[in-house]
Amino acid sequence: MTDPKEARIEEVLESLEQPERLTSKEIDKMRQRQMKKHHVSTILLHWFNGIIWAFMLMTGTALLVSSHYKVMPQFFLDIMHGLFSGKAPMLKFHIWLGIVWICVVAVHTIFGYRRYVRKKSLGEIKQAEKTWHNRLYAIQCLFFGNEDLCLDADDFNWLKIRTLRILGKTDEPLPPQGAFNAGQKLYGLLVGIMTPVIVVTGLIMAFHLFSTTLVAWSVPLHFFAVGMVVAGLMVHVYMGAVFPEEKPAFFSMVTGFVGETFAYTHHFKWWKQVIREEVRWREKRDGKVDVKDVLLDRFADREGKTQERIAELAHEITHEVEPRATGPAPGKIVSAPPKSKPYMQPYVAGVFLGLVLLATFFVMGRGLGASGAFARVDAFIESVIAPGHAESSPVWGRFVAGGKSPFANFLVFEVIGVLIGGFLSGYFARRVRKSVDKGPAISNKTRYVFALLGGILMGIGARMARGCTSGLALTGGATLAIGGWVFMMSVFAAGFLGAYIVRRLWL
Amino acid sequence: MNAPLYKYGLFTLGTSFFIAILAGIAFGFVLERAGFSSAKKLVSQFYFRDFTVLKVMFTAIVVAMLGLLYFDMLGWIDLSKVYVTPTFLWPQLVGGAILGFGFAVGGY
Repeated sequence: MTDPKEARIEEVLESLEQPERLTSKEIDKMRQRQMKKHHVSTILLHWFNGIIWAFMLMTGTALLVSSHYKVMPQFFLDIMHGLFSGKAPMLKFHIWLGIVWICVVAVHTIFGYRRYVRKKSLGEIKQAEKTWHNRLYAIQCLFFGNEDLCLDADDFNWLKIRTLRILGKTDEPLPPQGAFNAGQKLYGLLVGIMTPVIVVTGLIMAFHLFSTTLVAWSVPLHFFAVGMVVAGLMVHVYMGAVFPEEKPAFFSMVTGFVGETFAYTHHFKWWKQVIREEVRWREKRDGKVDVKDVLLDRFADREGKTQERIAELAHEITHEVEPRATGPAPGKIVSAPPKSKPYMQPYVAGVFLGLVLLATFFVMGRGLGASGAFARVDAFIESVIAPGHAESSPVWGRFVAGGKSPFANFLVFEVIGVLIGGFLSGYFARRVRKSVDKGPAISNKTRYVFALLGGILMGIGARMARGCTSGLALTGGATLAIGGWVFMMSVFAAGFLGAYIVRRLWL
Repeated sequence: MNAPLYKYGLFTLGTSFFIAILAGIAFGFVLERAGFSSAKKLVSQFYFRDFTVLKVMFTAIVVAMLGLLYFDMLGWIDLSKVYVTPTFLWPQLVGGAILGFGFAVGGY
């Protein structure tokens, strides 16, 4: 029979779907309390695994000397081959270290699996509704034998919302997470699937097992499986070592403990589990459970409220409706600025832009550009200050050779035209006004600084590539210049990746 | 027809500067009409919110490319006289990455 008091705690915990917003007092109190997260054996295995992987990756990549697979630069291969005095001893080291690793992992898997399998929860899983989430969950539980590592419906949702949040598409709260978050579980799954592949292909290659065909196939498979793990490993190491929000998770892999605040905010479902365990433990020790000790204590500022009230409170807070931001009171007329015309349809504008470009090709035999004009301004300044240097410089030389004016160029006049054309278009569309285009999170000053910084970077990049988005990407793209397309892909790749880093500037 | 007109000496360097201003006006006009004057709009593409830049750019590239192709097929233009940007693979790869990051930082 369950104790009615414990049942009530269960009830309260169940009604807490999301972590409540904590007051600073509560945070202080929680921070002092540590929750045990990792067993010593897990910690040791983790770092053993890390060290072995570092050695295996170093020797493994140094073994790849054929041009098909070579991933490391030649100097690294030279250093490694020098250290081991040749390829053969290094291979031997790689194999023996691999075998040690396999043995340790195998022991952990065999004994660990038995320890982890929880008969009760497997029974629960069997009874669960047959949705695809639950089926996947069951398969994972059979595979890992540890439900902490299995992705459930909440986790899939978490992955979805997390991605959307990164892209700035939503500010939905993240679903509560268990002992490991969905990202960690995803990495766990990847490692779990790839490890057997690495082990089997490694053994086949090391001892030339079965047929030669199989050995030949093992090479790319081994390479592929390791590559997949390394891809995940980069995120794993970044999260652990660099990402500030995950710092407590990193330290928990050293001490075994995390602060309760971190557990509460990042691993809410696990936090509830720990509370349940604490209740059971107290019950065993004292023979009675005081709800106040276990749960109410955590919400110090809300001490006056009874335990039933917490359930209500949790409900209120999770379903709280945000008050609307202050706007004009209903019925009050706010004088609107003169309405500017909407922008042209992108595809229509694209056709017009293409026609302008085509006309330029037809008349001038060259395309449009921008950054070249600025380079010529530089050349002019340089030629005024140090004429000799400008002429002998490989950069400015061709702009000023033979006493030519650096301004006697198509691009210079074209850019002047761009200024006029842009102003005319803006003027007729009633878009001319003074404003600073920036994200809501930064001040004008910050925007200026970063605009300058971005401009400097773009200037360097454009001159290095001999063109900018108009001169190289647009014009080069239309004439199918390889350099133009390479440049364009590079610009967008860096833009999309870099945008994440500077998202605070814009979102 | 003998095009590119300038390369066949239809007008002088001085006239070409006048044409450059006209081309620039048209260029700037269309860019502003498309919304390229707003840094936020330009950067929005990197946050998957507004793909105007990609749409405009690729439509323009396709139109100009097909135009050049048909002009060549009809014998209206001598493509060998059209300037094609030379390829410098590594500088353009690295320069592109620097410019791309600067794009995200500065918003062009």
